[in-house]
Amino acid sequence: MGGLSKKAYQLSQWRAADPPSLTVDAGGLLFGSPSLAGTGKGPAKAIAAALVKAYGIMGYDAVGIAANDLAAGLPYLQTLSRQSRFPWLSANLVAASDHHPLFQASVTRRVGAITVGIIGLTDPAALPAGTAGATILPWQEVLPDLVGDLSSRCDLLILLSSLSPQENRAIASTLPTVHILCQTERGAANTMPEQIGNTLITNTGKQGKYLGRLCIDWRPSKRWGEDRQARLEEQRRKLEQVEWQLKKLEAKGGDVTDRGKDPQLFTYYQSLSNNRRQLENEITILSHQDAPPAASYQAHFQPLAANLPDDAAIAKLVSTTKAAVLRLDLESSPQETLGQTPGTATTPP
Amino acid sequence: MKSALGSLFALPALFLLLMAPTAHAQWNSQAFALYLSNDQQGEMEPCG
Repeated sequence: MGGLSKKAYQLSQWRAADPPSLTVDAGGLLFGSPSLAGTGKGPAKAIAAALVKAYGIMGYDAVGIAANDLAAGLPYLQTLSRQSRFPWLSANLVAASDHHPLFQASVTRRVGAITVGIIGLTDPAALPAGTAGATILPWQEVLPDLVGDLSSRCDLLILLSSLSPQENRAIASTLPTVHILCQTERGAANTMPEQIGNTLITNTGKQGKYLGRLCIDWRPSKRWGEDRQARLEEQRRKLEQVEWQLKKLEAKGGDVTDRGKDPQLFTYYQSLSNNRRQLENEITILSHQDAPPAASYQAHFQPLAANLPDDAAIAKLVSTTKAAVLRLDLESSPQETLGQTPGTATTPP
Repeated sequence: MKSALGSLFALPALFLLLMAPTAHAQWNSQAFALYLSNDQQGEMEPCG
């Protein structure tokens, strides 16, 4: 946990010098693996609870939910999320019965002059075996509608995803109004953001040793800079394909617009229609000869080096937690400490 | 005479102060910073 106080210090330095900012993590921070060993549960939970407290103090705006956050079970994360100062996001971790999200699906934040929408997406394999009452839906079933809705209310969309890099690329290709996709690749090193369509896919080096900073010069065009003509041709080709698929579905009869008759077909049709609308909008913008200026960014990765100063409040929290963990280790008690941060009251699940 | 000379030097200094770019001047009104972390419990030690 030693890097936490360095990170808090670095954040405070950046916030003082940068334009208005957002701080996010795509998830997987609470535990070291997707399952916990028996006797190590108590100390691991004490650290996890302290991490949540630290993220709250550091002013995180949103955190995604990944497999490592669910290692102590879904009820544990639900309890912890109620104690968090920031929202835990997942649009596809839902109740098995009615597919209602079990956590907040998205959040909107006003940053300077713009409104930013942040969505969370969880890896479908993230739920521990035997978890009752919950399921993780494929992104295709939840994301197009949510993105369509948020796009109409936001200037920029960020997706926090613990899906595989392949699936993240597919999302970027399908949904151009997801402008930034932050992924949690565990083996990832710091790499410059990769632009797929109109989406920047970011990787920040793992293990909390680095902090990534994107300084974004956003523009009303809502487009990252690139060769406009090549993009226009690519989107026209995509629109032709989508229109062909829609016509094929419509030729099947009236069932495609009736959710009751064939829910799966209805969802697929709606997703294609959303896609067509987004492509048409984008083509209209790109077709203008005097297209507005494109957005740009500068990426930077800051090593959280040992010689960076410590943030006093977080350093104190880390030190208290380490002492508590040592006590728990010495006691070697199999009893679990659900959501217990040293020095704070616990909330029953 | 001394104070008149002082005023003469103060004017350009004041002009430069007013025209100096602020830390945020390079950004347009829609600019913002996004801070990203990728943490995992037990591995959060600083570099080096």
